[in-house]
Amino acid sequence: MDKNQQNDEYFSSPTSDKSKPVSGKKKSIGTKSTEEYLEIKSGSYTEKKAYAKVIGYVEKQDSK
Amino acid sequence: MLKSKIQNRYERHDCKRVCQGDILRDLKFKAVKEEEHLFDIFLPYAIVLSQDCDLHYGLTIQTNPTDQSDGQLHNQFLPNILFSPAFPAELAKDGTHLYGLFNVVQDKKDSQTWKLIKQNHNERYYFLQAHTDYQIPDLLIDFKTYYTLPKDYFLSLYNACYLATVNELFREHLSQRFSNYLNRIGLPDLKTPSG
Repeated sequence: MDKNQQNDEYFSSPTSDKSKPVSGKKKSIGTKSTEEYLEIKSGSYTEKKAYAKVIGYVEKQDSK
Repeated sequence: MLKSKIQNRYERHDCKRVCQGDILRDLKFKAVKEEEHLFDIFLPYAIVLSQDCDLHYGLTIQTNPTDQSDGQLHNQFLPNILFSPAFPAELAKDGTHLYGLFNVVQDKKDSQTWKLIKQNHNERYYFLQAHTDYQIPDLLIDFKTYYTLPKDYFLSLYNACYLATVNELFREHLSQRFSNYLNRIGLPDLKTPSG
């Protein structure tokens, strides 16, 4: 598992139940504290990272 | 010494209004940058930094407007809400936390630097400890990176994204450190004394 893949596992699915604690299979994801605190449910975490993506264009105002 | 009644770093409230220290998950919003480009911005985690008293009074509609023809009376009106991305700590440690948003990378933090960051002794960053019950991983706030959104737009996204809130004292600590960082004074590097 490469580093990016490990980092991806921080992020949970938007459909996951926020009222329940994260539980399940424990995986190594970096720092000791993270390993201690985070138990990632296998399969419920999807690949999510912050992004900025162009989705369209705003009409330019005529400067005249 | 009076013992603090704060028992936990985080809590969860009823979402009747946005509070300072609210942690949001999967926040996606539209923004314009580079002049004419419309962007989707996605933040796995974000934290509200607007002052809580501003949020309290600024989001409350004043009920007895005097003269509607001159606009509704709202002395504490708050047009925008300030928030910051909260980056998964491992990405920040690797210096890759800004890559997806801005296509930039930064130096990896060495162990000594990272130790200070985790102890909240580095002025630029604020480290939030993980909390399993609230599904909060180790997060890092980079005080150079923040956004505002128009109030109504932010509120339309808020309820679906609310995860938990940094508890009192800890949120004040965060707020104070953020404002101190913005208020820092960059002094010129004077190599030789003059005048």
